[in-house]
Amino acid sequence: MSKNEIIASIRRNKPSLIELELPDYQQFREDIDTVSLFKQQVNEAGGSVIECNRGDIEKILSDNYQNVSEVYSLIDEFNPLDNRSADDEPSEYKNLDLVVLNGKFGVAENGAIWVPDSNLSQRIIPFITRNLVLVVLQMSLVANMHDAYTEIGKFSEGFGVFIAGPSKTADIEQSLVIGAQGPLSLTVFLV
Amino acid sequence: MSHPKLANIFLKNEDRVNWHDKALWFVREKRDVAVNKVKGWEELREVAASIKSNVLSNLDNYLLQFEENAIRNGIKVHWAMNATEHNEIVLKILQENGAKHIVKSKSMLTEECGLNPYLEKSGIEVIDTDLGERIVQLANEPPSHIVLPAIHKRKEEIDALFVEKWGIKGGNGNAEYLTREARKHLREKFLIADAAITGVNFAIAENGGFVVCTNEGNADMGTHLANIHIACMGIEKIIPEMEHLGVFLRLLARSATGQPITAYSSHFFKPRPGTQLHVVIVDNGRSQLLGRPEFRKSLHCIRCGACLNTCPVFRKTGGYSYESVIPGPIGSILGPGTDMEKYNSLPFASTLCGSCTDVCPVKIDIHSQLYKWRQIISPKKGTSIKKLAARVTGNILGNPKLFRLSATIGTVLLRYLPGSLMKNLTAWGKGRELPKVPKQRFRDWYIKNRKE
Ligand code: SF4
Repeated sequence: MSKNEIIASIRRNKPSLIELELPDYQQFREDIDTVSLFKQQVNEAGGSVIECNRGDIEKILSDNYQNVSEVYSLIDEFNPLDNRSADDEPSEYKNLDLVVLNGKFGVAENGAIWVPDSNLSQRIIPFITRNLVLVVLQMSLVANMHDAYTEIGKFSEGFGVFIAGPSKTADIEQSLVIGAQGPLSLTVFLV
Repeated sequence: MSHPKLANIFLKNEDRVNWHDKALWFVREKRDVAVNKVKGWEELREVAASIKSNVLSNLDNYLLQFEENAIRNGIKVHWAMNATEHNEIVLKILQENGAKHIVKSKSMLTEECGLNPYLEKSGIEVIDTDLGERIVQLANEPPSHIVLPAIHKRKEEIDALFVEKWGIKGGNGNAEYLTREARKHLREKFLIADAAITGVNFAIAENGGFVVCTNEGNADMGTHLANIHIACMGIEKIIPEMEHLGVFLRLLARSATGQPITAYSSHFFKPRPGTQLHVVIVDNGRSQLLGRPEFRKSLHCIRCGACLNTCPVFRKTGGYSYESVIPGPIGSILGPGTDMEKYNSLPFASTLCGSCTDVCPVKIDIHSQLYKWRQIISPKKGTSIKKLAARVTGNILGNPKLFRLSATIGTVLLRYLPGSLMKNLTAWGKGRELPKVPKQRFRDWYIKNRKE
């Protein structure tokens, strides 16, 4: 069996054990304003940030997205008619204009937002929609990726994704185009 | 063909060479800006390199641990000794499920294994979904760069290609228009796909999960729509613990494109209910490489592409001059390890300026390994190092017109010139005095010394 062959070959060829050092993540700690850095990074990643109170979310959404027909929301503050069941085929979501989800937490150094299975009804949703809105608690922001994984801790869900900005590509002559195969826009509600 | 011969072909089109050089240097500069913002970047590289050293010294156990945890999570794990076996495993999974339409996100491993042509022979449609990869696939070409697959193509060529293949209206090379057209085309492919194939950026031993990074969202569009996800990984992709992702994700995108992180870093642990998730673990010569102490460290590679972008020879000669799946400095040390005869000119496709080593996020001693390969290859070929190196560097540096086109090459060499190495090892540096930086411009020095 190839498994045994590969393992045997590795055992023959590997160097003697080099201990795993405990990385000192403290040395990467910086004195930063997490909120302003996070906002800046979301912008640089091609997204936008709206700072508001939870209570304002619904009004802002209805004002900003008047011409969208298919909307899907998993936040308590905003309940458009269109909510569907989790049993739908993922391709059923192909015409979504707007998806609104809670992010678990945000990362200041890169504007990334952690969205695990438990914040989703279907994994495809944040990717297939034309416009994505993520609601993130200001309190939840962490400084960097080391803190992010401390925050995640022992993960026991099936899937999770860091989302930083809308989808993008620069594959044509290095000119950046926002909106590749995933969403064309990302808006973060920082509450 | 050897690197010098192929490079000569690329060098014929001066405009393209000049553009290619500039575009990659632009990416390299973005990398510098991003890296300079990180407190403790050098220490972060150290940490990454030490994790990788530990991984290589305990690879068997980590792989077994990964497998055990992945299986517990409902992932099916397969092992492939070589490329053929990898392809057979993937085909078998697809055939057992009657899968005919496949979408694939970027994976250098599947390129290495020649998966696409293999599947196509069996009547399976494979669509590369990364825009750059789709472009080269339509043109019937391999990627010329590991992160920027279509960097050798101009926008007008891409425009003409889309017009020809998809019958769309031309867009005068407008990148946004062409990207939108590709988006429409790829949407259709995602929606009908029976299976999605992805690479793996990092596989986590302690919990059996793995991470795939993209900017376009193409890996996620594929995997969350199709009912089968096959992820293909080389044995070296393992990291011990989830928290180590913090280190590697901070390094990867900054080194690759100068972004602090890719748009999507997707962590897969369990299949979506009612669907299949397969991981194929591939050796294909890696465990042999592990047994060569002087070259072992090349297995640290996280395929960020930084060494390609910074390399004056790569920028001036293009990815196809290397003829290997992985081009550039890292490809030039991996290539000879797999087939020394075929790739014997690659270790000479370098000025040994050491810039690759300086930018490598996992601290691979790339330029020293290039030198070591030269030592092994030269006696076998019965050619002097000087002669071979002269053929390669002579092509790029020996053409004053081409050379002048690029101010950047001088900048790199001056900035990263490890004097003793340059003087002793490259044909054109040998026995010559190096310039006193920064008093004399490299070009002046070069021209002067060449005349001597
Ligand atoms: S060798 Fe280093 S710099 Fe080059 S692609 Fe690999 S990780 Fe990146």
